[in-house]
Amino acid sequence: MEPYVRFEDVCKYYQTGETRIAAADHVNFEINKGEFCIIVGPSGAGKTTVLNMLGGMDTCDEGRIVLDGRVVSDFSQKELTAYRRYDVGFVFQFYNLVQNLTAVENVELANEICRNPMDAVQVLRDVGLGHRLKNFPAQLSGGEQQRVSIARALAKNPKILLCDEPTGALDYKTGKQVLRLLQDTCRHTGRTVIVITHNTALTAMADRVIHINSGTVQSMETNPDPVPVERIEW
Amino acid sequence: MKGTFSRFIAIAAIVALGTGLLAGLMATPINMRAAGDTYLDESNLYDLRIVSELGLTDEDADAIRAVEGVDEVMPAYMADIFLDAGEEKNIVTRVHGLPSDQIEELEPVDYLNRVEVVEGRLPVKENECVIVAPVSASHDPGITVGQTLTVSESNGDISDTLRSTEFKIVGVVETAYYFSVETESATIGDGTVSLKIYVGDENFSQEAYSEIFVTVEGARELNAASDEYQNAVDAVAERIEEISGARCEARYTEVKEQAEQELADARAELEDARAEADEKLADAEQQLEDGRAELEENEAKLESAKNEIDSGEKELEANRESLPGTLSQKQQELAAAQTALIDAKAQYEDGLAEIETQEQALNEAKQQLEVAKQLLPTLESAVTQGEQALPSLKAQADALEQAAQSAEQTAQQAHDTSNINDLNAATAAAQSEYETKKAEREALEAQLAEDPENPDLQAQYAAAQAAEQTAQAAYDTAKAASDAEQARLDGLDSAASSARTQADAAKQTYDAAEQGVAEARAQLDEANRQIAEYEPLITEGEAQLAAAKQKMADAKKQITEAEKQIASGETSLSLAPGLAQLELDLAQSKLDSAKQQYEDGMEQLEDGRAELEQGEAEYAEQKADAEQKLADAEQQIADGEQELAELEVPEWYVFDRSGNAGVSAYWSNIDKLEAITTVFPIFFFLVAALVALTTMTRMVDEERLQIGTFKALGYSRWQIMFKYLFYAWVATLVGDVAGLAFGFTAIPLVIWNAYGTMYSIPTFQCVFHAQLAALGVGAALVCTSLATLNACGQTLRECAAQLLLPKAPAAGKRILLERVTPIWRRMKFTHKVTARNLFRYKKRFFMTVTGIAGCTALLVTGFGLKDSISDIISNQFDKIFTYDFVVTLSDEDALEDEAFQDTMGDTARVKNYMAASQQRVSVDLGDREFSVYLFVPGDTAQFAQFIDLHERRSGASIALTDGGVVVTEKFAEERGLSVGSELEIENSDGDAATFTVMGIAENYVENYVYITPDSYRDAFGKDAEMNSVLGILPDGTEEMEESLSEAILAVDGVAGLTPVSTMRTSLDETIASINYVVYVIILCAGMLAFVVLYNLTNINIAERQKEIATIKVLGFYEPEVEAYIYRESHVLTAIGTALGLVGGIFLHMFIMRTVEVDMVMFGREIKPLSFVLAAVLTVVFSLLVNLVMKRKLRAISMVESLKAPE
Repeated sequence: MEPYVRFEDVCKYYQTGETRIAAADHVNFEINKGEFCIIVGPSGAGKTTVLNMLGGMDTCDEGRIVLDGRVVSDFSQKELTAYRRYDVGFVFQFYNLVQNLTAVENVELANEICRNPMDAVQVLRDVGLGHRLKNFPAQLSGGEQQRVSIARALAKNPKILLCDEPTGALDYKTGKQVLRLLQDTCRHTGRTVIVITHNTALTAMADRVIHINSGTVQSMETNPDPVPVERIEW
Repeated sequence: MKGTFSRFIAIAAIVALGTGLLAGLMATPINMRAAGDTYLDESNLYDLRIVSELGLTDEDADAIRAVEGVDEVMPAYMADIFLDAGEEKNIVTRVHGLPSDQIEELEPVDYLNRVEVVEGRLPVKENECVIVAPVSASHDPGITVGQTLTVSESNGDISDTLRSTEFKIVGVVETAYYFSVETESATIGDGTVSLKIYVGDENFSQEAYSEIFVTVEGARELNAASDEYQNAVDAVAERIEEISGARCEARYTEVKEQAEQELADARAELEDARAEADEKLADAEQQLEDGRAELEENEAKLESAKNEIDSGEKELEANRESLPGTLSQKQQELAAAQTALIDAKAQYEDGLAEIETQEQALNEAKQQLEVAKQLLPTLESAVTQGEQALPSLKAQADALEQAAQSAEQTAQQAHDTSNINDLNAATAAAQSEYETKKAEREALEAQLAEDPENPDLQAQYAAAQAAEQTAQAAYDTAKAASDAEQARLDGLDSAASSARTQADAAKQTYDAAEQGVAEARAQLDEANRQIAEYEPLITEGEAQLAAAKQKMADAKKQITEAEKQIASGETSLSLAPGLAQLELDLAQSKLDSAKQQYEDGMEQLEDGRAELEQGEAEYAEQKADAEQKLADAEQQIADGEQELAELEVPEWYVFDRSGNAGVSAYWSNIDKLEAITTVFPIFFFLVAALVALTTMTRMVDEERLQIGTFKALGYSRWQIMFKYLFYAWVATLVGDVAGLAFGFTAIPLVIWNAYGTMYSIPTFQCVFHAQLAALGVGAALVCTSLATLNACGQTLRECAAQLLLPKAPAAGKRILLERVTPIWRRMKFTHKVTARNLFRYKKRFFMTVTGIAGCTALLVTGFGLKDSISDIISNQFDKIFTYDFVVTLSDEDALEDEAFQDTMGDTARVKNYMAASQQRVSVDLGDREFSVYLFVPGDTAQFAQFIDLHERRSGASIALTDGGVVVTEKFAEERGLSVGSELEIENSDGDAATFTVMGIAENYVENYVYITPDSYRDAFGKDAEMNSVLGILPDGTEEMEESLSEAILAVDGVAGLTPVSTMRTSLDETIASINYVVYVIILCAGMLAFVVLYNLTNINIAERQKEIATIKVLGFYEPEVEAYIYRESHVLTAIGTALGLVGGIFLHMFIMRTVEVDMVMFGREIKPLSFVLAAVLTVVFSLLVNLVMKRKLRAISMVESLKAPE
């Protein structure tokens, strides 16, 4: 079976004065459709760079990135925007909600630009926020805000869900709830979810784990028997 | 600071604008005043000007010189006269004298009101002049050096004013005395001086000076626009007025004595002249009288001679004519006698013949009479016999008649008594009985025939037979009786009838006999009558015949005598002609000599008469001449006496420079400018403070962490705050420098350029004003410092620990709009963000709205300024003044001039015209004199065709009727008049009257008080003198043909002609200069809009970088991202624009009212297009800002979204 996501010798360089640093150095990996994938590595390993490139926020300097048969690395700026708009859902470490919109409005903001959005209220209910629909982000806790963020990403009905340290700003318990939500989403909707984290403890819950260090893929393993997040302790 | 370059620029730019405008606008009036003061001082312009009704003398000048505080004194001549320049006639000109002893060709020495030569040289000889240069091209009368100006005929005799009548223009000068386009009012023509010239004093023949100019000690050092100057001048003016009483009295006495002396001299002279003239005239009269007598005598002599000749001639003529007449008459008489003789002979023969005929007829008549006499006896006997037979015949006839009557009577009686009728009836009855019986019998007979055996029948038959026979018998008897009776009656009838026949025959016989007798008697009577008639006739005829025979004998004798006379006449006739001709010839020769004598005498008489007539004409002429001269002299004396009687003690009028139209207008325009200049900077500083506040707030927020760190490290609040203050100060100072550089140079120059068309002041300079600079910098620093302190204060009050934490994001807030669910629900989420943002950041809201509103308001004002000013021309000259040209008159009589009436009355050239009186009069407004025209139309009914008076707002037309006045809007506004107000006004003769205001009419150029001729007469007691004529060209004629203006100008008493198009052009040029001001305003507005929008967007982007990055990540396209941010500035721009459009109306109104001059009312309306333009330009400015900011927006990296919140 053709993999859903594929990185082929992807390189990304940053020029700082005289020196050129390779943030991604010939990255190769594949992810199948419906998998819950965790990319793990220490700070500065290049995992965010990989995510940015996969999410169409950044371009690669070399290599090919393929998603669902389309070569993302060949997209123009405009095509990249459309790609982000229709195919990718983002969950940020700091939620990045629009402060001036309520929870439901933040979700609807994303819906507004999609082709086939899900009902905002329903999605919020699904993530357990049915009672906070009309609250502004400032009135929500971190976990709640992150759940709004996930709802916003899900409501767009994207092909893949990209999560950048979704628990980074959350406490242990809340973090677990959020991860559970992500895992459930993957299981129940069959959507491909890619989570970036520096926490190796989490790898147990993933279908596929990709270890990245110094801009290259150290190893990639599949986990035939992932454990539910409740059972993981860190 | 490097990273915050754009916010640095924002502060610097708005500060530059504020300071620049403050410095520039406030410096301009100062510069203008300084320029004015320098110019006036350099030209040595007077401080005080003294005039008096009786003029001023050298003694007056000396007296003034002695007054304390008086520096220089210069008496001068001045006069208003009409001058002709080539084709152009009757130019109202003010002629000034130049002190000839003090000027040289090019470099004037020290005198007051110096003139500066700009072309040619100054006048050094008599009959030379210089003209004052027109201030702007539009006021150029087109008169150049080298032309000669001639005193117009319409001035009348001005020999006591000017010695010269021609001036050659040798140069053009500029003078501070006339540096403005404001016109001085003249005492002649239409009341407006259109040309100013200077000539040497020696050209004037006035016995006294017209005016004395004075400068005040120490005044020159003072600024002429300052109160100190005014006080110094006023003090001296007061002192001069103090001495004026005595001087005026002296002048009065002098003039009066002089006048009285002159009058006395004139009277004496007049008496002498009259005596001399009388004597000379008497001599001449005597001579003429003698000549006339002699002439008459000769005439009489000649007359009698002529009569004699005439009668001689007539007699001769008669004789000559009668000579052939007499001869022929005699011949004719002879011939007539012969003819008469022949006639007489013929008559004689005829008479004889007639006598014979008459004799014969007489004899015949005699014979007939005899026959008649013989017939008479026979007739008489016949008549007698007939009469005798008649009685017997009569008796016979009567007897027979009687017999007939009795027979008839008998027959009648028989008839009456007879029973014939009964008999006949009985017979008939018997007959019918018989018939019946007969019928019965026959019936029985028939029955019997059928039944012959029936015995009853037989019996019955038998009885019937018997009855029948009886009846028959009865019948027969009756019949016989009746027949007998009938026969008897018939016999009687026949006897009566025969008797009648006999009687009738007898009667006829008698009647015939009677007629025959009557006829016979008639014949007899006729015969007797004829005999009686003819017997006298015959006797008469015999007598006549005898007389006729006697006449014939007489005629025979006459004829014989006539034959004898004719024979002697024929003899005398043959001798007469020769004798008569001889007599005639003699008479003719006598007559001819007499005639010759008469003609000679006649000729002599004609010569004498011609001589006499000539003498008489000469006499009449000389006499009239002498009388005219005497009358003139008398009139002059009377005038002089009148003048002397009216002579009043004069008064000195001491004017300061405000009496000079140019100077006072210049100072007042500067005051107005100053009023505007205070408004703008305040507004800009307000915006500057708002910009600084928002910028610094943002900056402090951004550097929160840094502040916290510093605070944690132990820096005091002030130390930290100083950093931001310092930042603000540097930005402010940079802005100040730029602003001052721009403000002190560009702004004054632009404004001065706008005024440049009105004033020729060469000394304008852009000067650096330290005080203003300090004020501008200080104000800017205060604004930005306060804003900074306000921004820092709140943050710095928080404790260090809090500051180290990221600022809790400002909570989203529900806004009022959300309550309006239907709208809110329909809004997109991106729109909702905008809406919430707008209300969340109030400072930015106000900053932007104020800035944009200011921008739009400025633009509205700028465009509105153009509208208001450019509209006045078309409104005034198309809608209000519907006439096409004005003719000014120097003499009212021109209206009666035939040529004038012919030209103006020709409807092919002039559609219609109307005379009018226009007097320029002054109305005291309390703070100043206000100049208005008192306008009296010649014809109230036609007035509306020439000037359309209407109310500005409603457009309702105003009828000019008796009983009140219509005033123009500007005047009504300044004087506080409304409909129904009372207005007291003085006419140009100085008479005052009060009127009720009946209407306030739209008007833009000049001010008018309209009044009907009747009301004028009622109010002032006399008719208004018509001094102008308004004319309308035929439809479709734009320009006046030259021949028409020539024809009108050629009329005596016409002083000038101005087409309305000329007035338009001169105004057009003035208005063009306003464009500069509009450009400056547009520039300021644009900068204002740019600065605030730039700042707003800048802050928005900086503050919401992460949000922008997020929505980019979410997949918003570039335009969507831009819209997300710009929507806010769009909405603010819309709100600001709307407010600005309204604010602009007020700003425009304020500026219009402030800059207006007395002479002009600007339009109050702003055209819709100007609003549209202002709004569009504002939007364009905001789009421009967006365009600039787009790059910055694009540059935001999506990676930002991954960063931790600040």
